[in-house]
Amino acid sequence: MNSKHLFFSALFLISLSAFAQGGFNAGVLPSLNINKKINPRWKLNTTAASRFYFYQSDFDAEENPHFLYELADFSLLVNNRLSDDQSLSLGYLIRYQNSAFAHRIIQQYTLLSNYFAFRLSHRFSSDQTFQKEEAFQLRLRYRITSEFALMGQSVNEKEFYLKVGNEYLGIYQETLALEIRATPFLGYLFTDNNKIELGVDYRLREVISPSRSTRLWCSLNWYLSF
Amino acid sequence: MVYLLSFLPEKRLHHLIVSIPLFPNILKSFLSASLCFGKFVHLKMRTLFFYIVLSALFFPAYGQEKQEKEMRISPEDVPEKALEFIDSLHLDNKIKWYFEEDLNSVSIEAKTKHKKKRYSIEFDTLGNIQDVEIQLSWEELPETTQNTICAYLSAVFSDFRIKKIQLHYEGSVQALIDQLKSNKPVDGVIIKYEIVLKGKEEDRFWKWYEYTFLENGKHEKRSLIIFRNTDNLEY
Repeated sequence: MNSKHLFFSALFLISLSAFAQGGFNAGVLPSLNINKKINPRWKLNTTAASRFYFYQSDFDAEENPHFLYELADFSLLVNNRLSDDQSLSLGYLIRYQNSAFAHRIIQQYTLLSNYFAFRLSHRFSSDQTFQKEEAFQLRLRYRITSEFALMGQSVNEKEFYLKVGNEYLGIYQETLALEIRATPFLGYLFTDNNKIELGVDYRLREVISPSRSTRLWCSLNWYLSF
Repeated sequence: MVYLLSFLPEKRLHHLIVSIPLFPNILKSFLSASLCFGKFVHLKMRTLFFYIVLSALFFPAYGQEKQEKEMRISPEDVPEKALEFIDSLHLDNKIKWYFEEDLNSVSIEAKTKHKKKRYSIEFDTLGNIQDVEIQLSWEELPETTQNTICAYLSAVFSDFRIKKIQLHYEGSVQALIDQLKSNKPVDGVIIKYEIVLKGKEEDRFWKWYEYTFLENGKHEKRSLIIFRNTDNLEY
């Protein structure tokens, strides 16, 4: 195991060590991610996602809803490939939650690396969210994701793979907050342009605050490219 | 039928498949690779059937740009000749075996780490040695070779970054064994350098390439590296 593996494992374990703190909510988070290549340098990305709760610790057992719809997101990003291993994206997301719309502007830079038996991506992004009767929200995010082949050195069609991600979010909305996410996924590659991932999206919110809470999503992501 | 076809010599088999009318070229290459692989596993019918089914599952991949694919195999599926060659080297670590295929060829590859260096040893499906590749750092190249390669790349690219260098040996079985054991120049071994780099030409767009240089640093060939889809790592 080299130093990069150790660094990545340490980051992942730090976030997992914060499990079982404060309030706890669980639900499902399906998403559909569609990419359309315009030319070798430009592509469009659209994502549709929604969230449903099936457990909230703030409610008693009788009050706990079996299945509660929380929100729906739709985003459109324009991606400019700076090189084969770097890209810049700009986009807009609209969110429908609690009978109101929120608008988010997204900026994103991604750096990809290929190693002997895995691929690694570093994603740096920021977003600004605007919503009526809500304070302006600014987030700075860093995500490290690695993809490991489960057969051989690289992921081929009709093969499973493991994707593990760890994300850190600095959030400013009148006060400062920190959120940590850990996302282990099992993926299946139908073809290079059609893959599906099933896993857990674990989020520890307000890490540096006494009101910290955890959310656990069962996540299903489908990626299609044309 | 498949079993009987597998008895044909590889060249004859290839000619037979290529001559099938109204059969797409891609499918011909695919079938040829499947049957050649069948020969290599000593015509075990069950294994052959398994491989053909597996190949059928892989088939949609040929519509993509990706050129190579590999899958892990166990030492029991490796030709005796290849195992003997590896045994004769007395390598430090465990050997991982892979079956590799592209549109034009299939091969067996042994990968390992020896004396803190990555080794990749390629055989044909009958176990005949093809080449040996050892990962190197730029500093390990002879200075004159460094200068020649650098001058060539500077003329081609406005900017470039070297990502990986492999020392490439080709030669007879005995010459390669002597070379690898002694780590000194041996007659009959052809030395080349394979360099993976990202470079920027006039269009100012960074692209990745694999270059092959001769021992003296003279350029032999280059190929563009096509990256796999990265959507799930970006979003």
